[in-house]
Amino acid sequence: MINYWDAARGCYNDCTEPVSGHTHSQHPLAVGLYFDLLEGPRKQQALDALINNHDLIKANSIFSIM
Amino acid sequence: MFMNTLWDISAETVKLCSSDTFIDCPWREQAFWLNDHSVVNLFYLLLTGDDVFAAHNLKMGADGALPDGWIPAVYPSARKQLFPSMPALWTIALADFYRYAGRLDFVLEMLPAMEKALALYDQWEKEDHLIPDQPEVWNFIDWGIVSRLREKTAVLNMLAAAAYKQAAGLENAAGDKQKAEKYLGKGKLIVAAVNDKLLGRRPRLL
Repeated sequence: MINYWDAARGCYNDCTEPVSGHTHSQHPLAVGLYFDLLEGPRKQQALDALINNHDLIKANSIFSIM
Repeated sequence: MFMNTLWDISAETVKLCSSDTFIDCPWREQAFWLNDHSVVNLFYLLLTGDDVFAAHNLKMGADGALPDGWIPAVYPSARKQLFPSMPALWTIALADFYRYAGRLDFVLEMLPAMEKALALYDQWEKEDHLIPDQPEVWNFIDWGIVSRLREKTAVLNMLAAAAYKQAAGLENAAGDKQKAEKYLGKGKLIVAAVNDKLLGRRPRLL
């Protein structure tokens, strides 16, 4: 049985805490592409940013299959 | 093999999270979070094609709306939890329902709730056509995304633009071309404003 509750941190282990300050996010680009909101070069730029920026993909990976 | 396992895990998750309403998880809160609903609604419709339970969940959201039209993030609940993204997310869920279930009768029943919820964005919108984060509420989008700064965030605005586009499709289906045009125009203004005002320092990111 995995102990999900982390008493020291006062939260569940499967939750992450939001970071502070400004962040750049892939979410707006993903929303823009999924709903076809972007036009012209912005569409390709958004796609490039999503598939080429591996450090961001890694940073946004919150859950993993154990 | 990996994809089959992933499919089984995903389908089992949807099954376990389908109770009286959709719930966020079967072992802890067991709460109907309507922001999560916008995602599981789509998975459920794809997996089952069942429009009855999907419609029930959408109706629960509309029933829980506050007098000003704000659909709560969790309902029913003793705690009032409001996310600025909810008008957008619920609208997107309604459009997904129509896309996969095809029930215009239900959409017509829900349109007043959608229009009232989206009207909140009219109240909040600033001169630059961007919708700012709202004070006194949790400006939650997803874990890892932060909008504590009471400013304007690209993701909320892109969700609003997406919702306007989906709403236009629903109004078209309902035969109201004027409202459809209005929503399409609003969505385009927001996308243009996001591209103009919210481009980050890192290339291509918002």
